[in-house]
Amino acid sequence: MSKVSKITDGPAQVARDASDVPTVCVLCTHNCSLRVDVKDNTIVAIRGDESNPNTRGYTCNKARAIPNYVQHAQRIEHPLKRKPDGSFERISWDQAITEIAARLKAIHQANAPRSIALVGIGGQGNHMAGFGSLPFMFSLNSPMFFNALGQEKTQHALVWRRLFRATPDVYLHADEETSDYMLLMGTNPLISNRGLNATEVFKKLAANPDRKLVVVDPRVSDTAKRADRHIQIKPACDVYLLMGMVSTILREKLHDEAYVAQRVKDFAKLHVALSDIDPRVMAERAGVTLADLRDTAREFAQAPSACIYFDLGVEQNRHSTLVSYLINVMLLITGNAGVEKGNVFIQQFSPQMMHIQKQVKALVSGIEAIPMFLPVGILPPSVIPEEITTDHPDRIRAVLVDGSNPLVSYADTRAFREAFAKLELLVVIEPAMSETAMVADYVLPTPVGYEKWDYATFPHMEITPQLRPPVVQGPAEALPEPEIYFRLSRAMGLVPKAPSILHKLARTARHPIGAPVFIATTAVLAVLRGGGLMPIAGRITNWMYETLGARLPAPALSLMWLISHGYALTRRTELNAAVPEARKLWNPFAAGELVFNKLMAHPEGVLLGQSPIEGNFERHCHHKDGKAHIHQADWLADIRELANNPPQSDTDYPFVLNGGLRTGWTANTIVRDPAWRKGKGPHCPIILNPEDAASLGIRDGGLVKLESRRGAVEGPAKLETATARGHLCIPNGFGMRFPDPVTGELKQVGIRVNELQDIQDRDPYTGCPHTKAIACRVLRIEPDQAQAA
Amino acid sequence: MTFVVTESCIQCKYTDCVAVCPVDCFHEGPNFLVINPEGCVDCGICVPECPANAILADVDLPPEQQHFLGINAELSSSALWPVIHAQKPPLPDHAHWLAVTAKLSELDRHGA
Repeated sequence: MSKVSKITDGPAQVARDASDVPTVCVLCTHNCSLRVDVKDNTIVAIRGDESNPNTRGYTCNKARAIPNYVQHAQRIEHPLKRKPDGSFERISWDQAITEIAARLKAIHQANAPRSIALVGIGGQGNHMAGFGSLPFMFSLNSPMFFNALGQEKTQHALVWRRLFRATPDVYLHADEETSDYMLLMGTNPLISNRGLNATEVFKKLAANPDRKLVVVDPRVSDTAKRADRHIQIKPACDVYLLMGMVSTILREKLHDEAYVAQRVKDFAKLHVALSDIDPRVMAERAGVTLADLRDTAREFAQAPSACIYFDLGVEQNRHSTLVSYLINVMLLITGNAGVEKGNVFIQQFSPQMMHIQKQVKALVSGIEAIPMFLPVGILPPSVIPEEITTDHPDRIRAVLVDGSNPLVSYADTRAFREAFAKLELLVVIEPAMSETAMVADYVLPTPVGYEKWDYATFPHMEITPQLRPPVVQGPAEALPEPEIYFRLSRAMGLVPKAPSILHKLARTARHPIGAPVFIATTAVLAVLRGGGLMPIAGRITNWMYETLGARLPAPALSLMWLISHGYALTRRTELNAAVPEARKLWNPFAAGELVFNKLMAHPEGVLLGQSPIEGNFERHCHHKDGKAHIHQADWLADIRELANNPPQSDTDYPFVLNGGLRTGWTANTIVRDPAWRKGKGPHCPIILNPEDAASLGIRDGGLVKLESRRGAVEGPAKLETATARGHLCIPNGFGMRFPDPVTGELKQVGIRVNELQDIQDRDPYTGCPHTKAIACRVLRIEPDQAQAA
Repeated sequence: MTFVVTESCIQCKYTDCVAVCPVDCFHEGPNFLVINPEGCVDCGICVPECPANAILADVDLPPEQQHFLGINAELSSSALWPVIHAQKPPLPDHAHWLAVTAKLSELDRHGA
């Protein structure tokens, strides 16, 4: 008999044929609610689900790619161990757990806890993956958690932490449905589906002559075409435009005096720091007209309400922390932060989180972790290689990659390849044989988010989490991530077996009186074993998984149950506003049970909270004085430095590459099988302006080489006037290797942009890479056929 | 907002667009295709597929093609214009008609 402790085994039992089963699209943060038909364990039809209170039947074309994500030639069927010759051998789960646990334990005992790092988790709608990995990291007492948010959006969380002392569970989102004036920066929602039901929102916006849309984008995007004003900015120059606009508002005294007096601290100091910046010079540097800059600043300040809608175009770009800061400054001085029709704090479905000041620092760069959506700090992927290769004794020695693919998805592929080769242990937990899995010591198979219980919880204007059961059955040996971490925790001896009293109390935990008894007893027993906050939290979650979890359809639902109670205990006002039957429940644990039951009963998604717009700012600004601390000396010093020194361009690499264009055929690196992309393509071209192409002798479809200081890639040229001169675009998420359907040989699909990026080309505060501003030169590598003829 | 099939499609009917439409919202007549504006999810995937560049977003319609907005809405709601689910070969004289720009008079409304 096996010595490895386990709670669940084998795939979830699902009917092989079913119609109209609710689920969700996991290909982007929009998380469109879906209905699918299943035939012989295969998803055969996909529709938008109108019963979801949030997405209301909306989908784009990408949801139809889900069958390709579920079934393809690279699914991993068994645990694998790499042999010395580089090939993999099939091993049993018991062998995998026993061996990995022994190696992790040896590393953990000989070094600092931070020598073991977690990379990934969650993806776009499989958020239950974190229910195993984060408790495991708690039990290890290691804070080394790296997530893709750290190469995208943590600058906002950092700005909100400083300006508002915000908790990690909020997002200052543009009120896209009602704001009178929308300023879009670095986003093309008509294609990326950013926000809520983007094409419908823009339909309404276009139909309303009183609402105004201004789009800032170096490219004539689909959204820019619909704008009242398109400011075609020079790539990577958003910071100058914002500096000029903020300065204009300050110089012309267009700020909202009443709002500022009530809600902003140190406005006068900000005024001194920024009002002498010359808008004319800033317009010139941003490549825009002074009229466009000034008019937009004036209109924004004077509109009855205004919001700023932002995304990756300004986040994976130069000066992204300063840009985020200036966006927030502009919202604050014009009275549009935390108020109706402006940018509103929205909060995800979770217990009320706390602001935790102290965060772990990276050893080499000193960059601090930033909590965002999770109660733990997130470190940026861009520092992983140097945290492995440094000589520091506390360096990373073992990496668990879970639900991510660093060798394709993270900036500077070469740096990752070289650093991962130096690890003592690399374990990849994945449904598919990713490029990172190909170099791992062990590969552990998991079901995809349609073969297990999972949930999607990105924050929206209303609180509408979606917990869903599996719709198809996964590979027989694939194990949900939380089970893998549970087995590892036990095999490493990190968490002892649950005390038997907890098994007894779990039987009555689903009762309003039994719930607090079970939770309190679990917590007390966990505390009594000693250790810090993290190991205690690890014990609580593990024991709940083991005891209550064994009584639920999937053991990881025990954490969903705990979150439900936490939500009902700390967010009762929002719950009561949305769920009338909660109002009459005096016992908060009865309300928690109601929340959990609603989640379980509504796999199509359920409205579980509404937040009143009144007092939005006050509820989410946690500084003692209740004000936004707008004066940030270091960032203002950086901005003044930028104002006083014209930007230097790299004349040897004169083009600016947007290395992550969204198209209808991109979905990060989630769908490996390229067969989901239909139509004539090419789906991954190097897009450039026809005049630039002509000057370089490049024809449409001709082969082109891009060189950066770090690497080179090749691909077919696509000429389009929508892309400005000097700018280049490559769609994101390409560069994976997939078996050729005929020969079975691994073939790279499209361009791996991250080969071009230098890991040091990143934001100094967050480590966010400049994926949208890679300095390149363009070379024609195919003889010009027209000339040859 | 919707996407609209315009004059260039008439007498060519390439149907490359049908192969990519995620929601099967192209309707077929004898020598023309139309998009059902109610079913279109505005993904725009069909636009680059058309060899005749016949598909445009409503906001991109030039003044002389504006009337196709109504034509698409009207014909797609007719029972005589069924949904087309799969790509098929273009009309026999597509190459000739591809070069012709003014061909509205050729549109066969199929009784709708």
